[in-house]
Amino acid sequence: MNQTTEEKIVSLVESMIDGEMTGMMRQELAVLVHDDLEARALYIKQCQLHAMLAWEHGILPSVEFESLPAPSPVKRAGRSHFSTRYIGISLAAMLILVGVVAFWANRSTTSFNTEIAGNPSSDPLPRIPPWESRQPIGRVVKSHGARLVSSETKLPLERGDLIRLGEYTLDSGLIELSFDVGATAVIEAPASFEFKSQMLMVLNRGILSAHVGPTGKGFSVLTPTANVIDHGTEFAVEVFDDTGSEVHVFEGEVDVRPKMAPPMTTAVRLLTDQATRISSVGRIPQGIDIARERFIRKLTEPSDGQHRYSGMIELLHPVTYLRMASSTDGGALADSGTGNTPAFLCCDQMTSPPFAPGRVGQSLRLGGPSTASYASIPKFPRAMHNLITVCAWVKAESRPRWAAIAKHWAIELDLTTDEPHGLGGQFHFGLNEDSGELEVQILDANGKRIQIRDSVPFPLHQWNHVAFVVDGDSVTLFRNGKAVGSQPCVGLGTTGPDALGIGAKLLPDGSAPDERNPGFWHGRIDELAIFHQALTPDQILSLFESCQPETKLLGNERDLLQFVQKP
Amino acid sequence: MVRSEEFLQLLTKSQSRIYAYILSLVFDPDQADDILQQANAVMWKQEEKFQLGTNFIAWSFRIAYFQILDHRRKQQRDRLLFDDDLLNQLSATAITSDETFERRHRLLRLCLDRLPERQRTLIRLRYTAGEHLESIAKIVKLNVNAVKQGLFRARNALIRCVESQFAEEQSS
Repeated sequence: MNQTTEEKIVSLVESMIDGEMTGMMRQELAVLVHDDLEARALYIKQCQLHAMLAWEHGILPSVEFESLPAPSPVKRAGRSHFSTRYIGISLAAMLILVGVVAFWANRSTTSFNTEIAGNPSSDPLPRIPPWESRQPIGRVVKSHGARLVSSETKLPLERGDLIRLGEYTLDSGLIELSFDVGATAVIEAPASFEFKSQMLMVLNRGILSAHVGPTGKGFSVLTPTANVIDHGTEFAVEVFDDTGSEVHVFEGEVDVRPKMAPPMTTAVRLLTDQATRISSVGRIPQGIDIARERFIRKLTEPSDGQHRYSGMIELLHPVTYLRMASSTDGGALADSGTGNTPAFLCCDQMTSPPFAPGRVGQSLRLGGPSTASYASIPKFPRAMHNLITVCAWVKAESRPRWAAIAKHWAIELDLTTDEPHGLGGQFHFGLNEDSGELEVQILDANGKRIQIRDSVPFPLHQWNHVAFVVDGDSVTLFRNGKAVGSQPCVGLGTTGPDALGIGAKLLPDGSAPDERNPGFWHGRIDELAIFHQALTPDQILSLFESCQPETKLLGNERDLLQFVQKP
Repeated sequence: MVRSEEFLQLLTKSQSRIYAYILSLVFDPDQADDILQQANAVMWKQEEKFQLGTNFIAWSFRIAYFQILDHRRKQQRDRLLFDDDLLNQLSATAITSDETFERRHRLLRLCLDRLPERQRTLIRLRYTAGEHLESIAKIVKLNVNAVKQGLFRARNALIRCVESQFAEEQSS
């Protein structure tokens, strides 16, 4: 075979696979390979290269069988040279098609007007424009303690910055993005992802919650193990370190197809309240229970008028009210109380943000002794007039020794006399030692330590409303609106350290958790409110009931006023 | 009927080899697609006739070959571009060449990574998105000939890279 024949065969095969081969050209090719083994071998290797490339890029036809439900047909008006190769095209290919087309379509004209076209000796292939020249697809609308960078430019992106096509890493915190196509997304660190188009995102690692409006229908997320295509909905995707993925649908419909699925496997269609897991080697989706409380879907707390509980709390004028929403710098907790006291997070050992969906909006998510994370109010405003109420929504995943909800306490007990000594403190609110019942201890105005304990271990994995009230004559402990114990007391002591620990008991100087009994909370703490007044049992019950399903909808002003005016 | 996972894996992972075989015998990507679908359906129905542990490729090529013959029968004789003699020649060469398919496929992946980014981009656009040459030309704002030339260079570079790597492996 001479060089001319070789070039001719290669050229004819190119025409064949590019759909430009005429009958005459086919005839010519047949003649060239007939009775010429070398020519045939060359021809066949060219065909094999095409098949390999088609396979590598996922565009060989899907396998369809009469006995099985066929994948959704892709109807085409006409049959081009490539058309049948795309009948039953894989979801992955479709998504990438969307992405690539949009990517190129979005390029600026100038970036492509190279001189190459007019210079046949130059490589005619285009260059990808730099990140800052690419079409914006959305914007960072919220950034809470986030370190988000474009992988290409290494530039940090902050609230208000544009998001363009390309790769990103989120090393810490939470971001909320708004896309021009009518979708929003909250992404939780650590995460790495890429926007291939306005409608196509690749999530390599991390947690994404997306809300997709009607105009964003078709928004798709590719993970290392699954292709997720949305049909107008609210859903979350988590990619684990081992590349396995989970998809949870809060509302609407989502199709999930494992990347390693056998050819005849149709995508699983998830509806509202359904979820699935694709393991790192998964070929078959595994149905799991939806975990609504795992995913942060908004970075804002519902305003007071939007949730009855927070509305009620606000009307009662708490001195301290930590809604437990993530803040812009990621290290502070906003105090909505009248004291407006700074509160800070200490969660250096946590790899993901210390926030999670709460009973109302977000909550503080603490990892217990293994992460040693907590929050503190360095200058805690003490109650000076014998009255105090502390309440919160809490959820426990385990019962670490002396687990703390909130503790203003610098007291050690004398081992022989059981008498308290130290700086004192106003309250010690959490779980009892190792048996784990809800308990509260206070020092009354006479310095007497009074302890009340629930009768059963604190229930795990569920939200509980917890409260205690000192009304000057007694201290009462409440769980889920009901009093579980009460003891007489004489007012309330005013001694104690400066700092309040939340999710931990602090050293007397407030600088760190107590070394012997740090009491790290394992679970979530939400809506921590401290009043310098004694709420009534009815008010405590109403607060609890306001979050129950039948009453959790918007309250109205009259209801709230009636609530506040209760004796 | 419950299909065995092994059979499913064999069928899935052999798709590119079967497709290459069919394409080389029909000279037409669209017809190759149709015949591949038909061959898959036959293999699916005849799974029980295949014994796990025996040569799946030989079995699948045989089924594909009969599907090609069936396809040719349905075409009018005067539309056939070549005779059965050439068909048999191509089949024999394709079967021989397939013996190194897996190794060359593995090398292709290495070569794709080594391809200059601009050529890689064009290949990706062509194969991932499945764009027609005219569409690619519009997308990248180049003329069709420039795109065609770019694709030709990229494929040629891949073939040369694979062959060179293959020869290197053979000699070592």
